[in-house]
Amino acid sequence: MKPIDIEGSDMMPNIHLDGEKGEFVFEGKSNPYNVNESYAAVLNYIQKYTIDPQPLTTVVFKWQFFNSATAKIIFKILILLRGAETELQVKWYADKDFRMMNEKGNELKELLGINLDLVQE
Amino acid sequence: MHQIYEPIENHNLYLSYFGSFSDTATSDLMDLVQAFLSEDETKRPFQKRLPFIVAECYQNLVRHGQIEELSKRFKSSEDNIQIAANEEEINITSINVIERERIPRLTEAINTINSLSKDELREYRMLILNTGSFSKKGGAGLGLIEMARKTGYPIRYKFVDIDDEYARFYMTLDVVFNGQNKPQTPIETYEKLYNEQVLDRFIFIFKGDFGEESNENLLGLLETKYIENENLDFHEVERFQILVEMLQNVAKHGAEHKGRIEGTLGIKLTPTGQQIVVGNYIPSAKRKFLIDYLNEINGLDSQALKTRYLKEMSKLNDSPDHNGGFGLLQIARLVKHPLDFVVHSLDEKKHFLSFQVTHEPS
Repeated sequence: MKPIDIEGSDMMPNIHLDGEKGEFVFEGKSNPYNVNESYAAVLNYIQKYTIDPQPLTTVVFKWQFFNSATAKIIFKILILLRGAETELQVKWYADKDFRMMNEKGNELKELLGINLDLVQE
Repeated sequence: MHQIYEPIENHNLYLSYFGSFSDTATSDLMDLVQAFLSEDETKRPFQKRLPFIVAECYQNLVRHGQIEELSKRFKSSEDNIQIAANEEEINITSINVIERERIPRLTEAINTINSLSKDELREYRMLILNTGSFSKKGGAGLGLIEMARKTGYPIRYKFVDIDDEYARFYMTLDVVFNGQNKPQTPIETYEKLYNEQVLDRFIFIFKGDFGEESNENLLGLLETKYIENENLDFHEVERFQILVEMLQNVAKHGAEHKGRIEGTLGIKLTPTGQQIVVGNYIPSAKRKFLIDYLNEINGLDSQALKTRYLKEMSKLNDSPDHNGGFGLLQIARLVKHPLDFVVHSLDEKKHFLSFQVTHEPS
């Protein structure tokens, strides 16, 4: 799958999707009003990737902040990848003083039982 | 809150912004005003002019806010810009502290500008440009001339002494939609609002459209206020996220009033944090569900809230765009206080919801 780069905006993060390397990176803020529409291409790409994934899949989240609707999208992305025939590694970056962001990373790890490294900066 | 909202009850747009003004904030504010002007035919002709006037007003505050002696004594958080629009006019008022010794020169400059016709103003502008008669603060008086040229109405102003050295400078610029009448709202209205808002420790008030486009502009403006500064404070990020959830909830679930999703937002300082109050119309049909849901959330302790939040997040078939309840859970987890709310009955179709949260560092 050819890599896709989506440039961030006032409401969306920078997104890098690379099916050839099994790398997915989300960086910045995510507060879209219509989250389904905003993430449709991303979910579509990842869904296709899960049909024939790489042996190792890395997802990097470097969030500045995101709205609750985006939280559901993050959950969806991770559910899709967790169900695929791949070893999933998630890196969740958060400033050590940013309580909310640390909590969110820990909760996803707990809820999904996935290999999620909380990388404190 | 009531005394704050009563004088702006008939305004279609009202915004009061306290604090320092960045270029990004100026741009977001202009977008907000543009969106308002695009709402109906009669206001569209003013779309080009008005952002310029707002920008000049901002520039006025920025220039004078940079004076070192002033910034030592007076907090920039007391600088204020108010934009108020009703069916007839828009008034843009800037309020800031100046040295009293500047009053005579400023008064003379404004009075001169106000006495000139449109053609004379153009000539006066050329004269100042050619002679390089710049003011000490780099404004050249050109800003004032430009403002007067763009509005077509006299610049209204007022000085109120603070002490022997300083005074508060109120300046109102007007755009009158029908072009014939004079502006009707006295400058004292904005002076009174300013005094009340300072006393109540407000830092931001907005009344207007909460629909999608306006919502994005409003969030852009608030993001600048909360996040785009050198020392990132994660409590401020949390507050901004609360605002995102509250405003997007209103945009998606609020009822229409006067052909738009009208609402009010007030943010004020508390001794250790901030209080955010949002008021909006809701469809009467949703009233019971909303009250029951908010009461249910208020009955949960922090562990139960977390469990409920994670359960809601796991519902894959839910559309994230329509699950307002999930956003409320997120807010409840961030504020760690009951969600205060009052629902007023208006008529069979609509109720008015006033929703209030207080965020304090844990």
